[in-house]
Amino acid sequence: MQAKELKCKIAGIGAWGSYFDSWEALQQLLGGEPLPETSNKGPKPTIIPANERRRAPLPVRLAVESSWQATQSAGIEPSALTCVFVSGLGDTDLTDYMCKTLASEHKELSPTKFHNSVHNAPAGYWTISTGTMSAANSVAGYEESVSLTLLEAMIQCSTEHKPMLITFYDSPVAEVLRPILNNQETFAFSLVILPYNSETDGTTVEAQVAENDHASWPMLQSQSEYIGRLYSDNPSAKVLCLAELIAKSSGEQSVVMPLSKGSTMTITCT
Amino acid sequence: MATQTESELKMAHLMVEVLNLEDMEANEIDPEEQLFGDGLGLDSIDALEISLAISKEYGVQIKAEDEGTREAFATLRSLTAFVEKNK
Amino acid sequence: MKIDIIDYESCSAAGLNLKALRNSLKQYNSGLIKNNLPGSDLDTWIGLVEQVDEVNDLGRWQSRNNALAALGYEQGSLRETVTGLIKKYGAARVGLVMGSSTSSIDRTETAYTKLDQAAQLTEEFKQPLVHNPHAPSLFVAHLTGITGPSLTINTACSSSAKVFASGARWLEAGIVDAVLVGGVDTLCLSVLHGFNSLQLLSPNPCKPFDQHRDGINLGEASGFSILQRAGENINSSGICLTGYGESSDAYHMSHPHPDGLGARLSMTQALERANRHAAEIDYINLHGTSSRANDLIEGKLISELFPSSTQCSSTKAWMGHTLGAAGITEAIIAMDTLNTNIIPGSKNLDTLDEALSLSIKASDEHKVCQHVMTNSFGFGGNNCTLLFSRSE
Repeated sequence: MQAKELKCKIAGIGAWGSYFDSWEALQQLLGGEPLPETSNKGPKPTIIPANERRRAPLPVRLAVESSWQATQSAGIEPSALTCVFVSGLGDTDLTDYMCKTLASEHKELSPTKFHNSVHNAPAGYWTISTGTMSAANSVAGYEESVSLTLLEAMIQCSTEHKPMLITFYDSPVAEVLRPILNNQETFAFSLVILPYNSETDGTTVEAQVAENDHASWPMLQSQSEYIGRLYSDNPSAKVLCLAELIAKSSGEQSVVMPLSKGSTMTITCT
Repeated sequence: MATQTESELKMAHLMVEVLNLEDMEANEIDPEEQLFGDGLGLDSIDALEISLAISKEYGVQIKAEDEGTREAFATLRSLTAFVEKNK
Repeated sequence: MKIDIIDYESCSAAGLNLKALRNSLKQYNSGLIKNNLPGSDLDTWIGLVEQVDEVNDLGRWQSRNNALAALGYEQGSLRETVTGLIKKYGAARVGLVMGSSTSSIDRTETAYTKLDQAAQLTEEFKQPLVHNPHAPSLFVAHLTGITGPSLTINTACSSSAKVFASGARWLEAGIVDAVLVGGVDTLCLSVLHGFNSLQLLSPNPCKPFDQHRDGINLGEASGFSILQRAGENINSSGICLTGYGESSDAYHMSHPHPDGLGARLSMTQALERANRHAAEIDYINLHGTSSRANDLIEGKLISELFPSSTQCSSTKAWMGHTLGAAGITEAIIAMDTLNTNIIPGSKNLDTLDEALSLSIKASDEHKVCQHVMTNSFGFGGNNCTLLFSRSE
């Protein structure tokens, strides 16, 4: 069967990391600007009600922050969007807390920490904070988290004509697990995408899946050591290869992302 | 605001800590203010969290489904009194 | 929308495979036992799959979760069917979507009890592909030889229901020609103590929708199903996925919306997508966890949306609430009624909650169904409803 056309428009972008607190700031770093002197604290998105915000762990606050930025920049009501959230590594701080507690004599777990430990906690907090009743998916794809999630969201956007929010986020790994899951960087990035025929100015993205068992993530244009480390260590930051294309916005450009052991996805931006 | 007793202040500290009440000091919690709903705005998860902390700190078990629990959790004062009574 | 279900298998405390599950349902034999999980002296009942302990040759992939996935995959004709599809279409044209909430945290738990002197992971547990949320798909891709897109959905208790929706969309988009969807979750200290901290566990065998229900029982399970676009495989099961609905409660992380607004949306969406009226639904396998909150809310909603001709039951008293695997376990029970022509009763129901008036009973019923549904509602207010129909 001929694959259906997967074509959408990017209506809004959000981003947050240790050295950037917006898409604009990230673009500057991608463009070669030096890192700020001090790193960011937070984020503490005020869209999360105070009652929930006080118990929201870092991955939740990251995902909600970049999601909020993207919806604001798109000028779209958050509750109008179907969401797909992805974290390649999950909340290892909470995994660490639970496993340490369970390995000890006193195994009583904090109920708040337990319900925060579900992989879809960030998606849950987002829908609660914004009153979103449309579907919220929460997925994982390890090193291919970005490409798989882009595909999942673009399929829904194109074939079901749904405006979508896609959020990629990963936080530093807890010490015990660091030798095997080596990430000490913080990163969140969100896209609001609309069906191709929407009346909106914005980069068009098209996705094509092909059989290919020899792909690896492309090199970034950026020479920044920080950006390089973010890209190699933080699974969600693999989206930076797409971010660079969007930031450059000059004519038609493509990037080929590994999708699975036997397939790749080419993303073309115009 | 009603004056806190010493044990009420201790309970307030426990609450601020386990619930991560950011904008509040322990000595600012009115012992006669409603803990849930319109007062301090706590919810059922917070009640479970406090129950866990109380059982660790004071050895008193509080079950959500028990009859006396709702009343116990009305205010800081009633909660402190409940724990004192059942220690 | 019409997706053919080519094959399906289930592995839980109620049966090592579909054949055993059918038997347990028919004979009214529950697989629940008193909790005996080492390291947890919690007074509750569990649905344990004992044969999982025998699967200990997975090497770098070893975890209880992966072991249960491996055990489930060996059942029935799954391996044969998948291998045949890989041969026909090529491994990269077969996709994989797994649902799980524990992923393999059982292994991480064990690793933390065996840290070395410097509080570091020991060699045996340095398994990056296991200690991450995508572990179920990474392992099953390895097990099956599937090299097409493979995604893990982790939305708590709706995970392995949502896999059907994603699989269906991938097929309709034409990026693959077949999708293996599955779910797996295992009993571990995290979930037992976690649900205990929320005071949701019952010290008794669970009684969904019963007036005297007092909490849930946890279980473990794995399940798989193979999907293709309608009409592309002559060896289909005679069952189609004709509808799905997905929604959010937007209310609270661990308490469902009191008026079931999110659940209402997922159910009505599934009906709309299938182009069916509520009255056409013969049977609904309810989420029915036996928690005070869920059953009241879900039960009331069913009465509002469906007529008395729609028979309902919760089958969690047979194997427990299998969390991330509940979606597929119960989807399989629901769709299998189209093959067995027996609607399983709602086991352990003695006295229906007096606030409810839906069509539900403890005993089973012989009925030739045309359309059936299943509900799965997860933490974070994440809802999914599936609708299966007899192929014409």
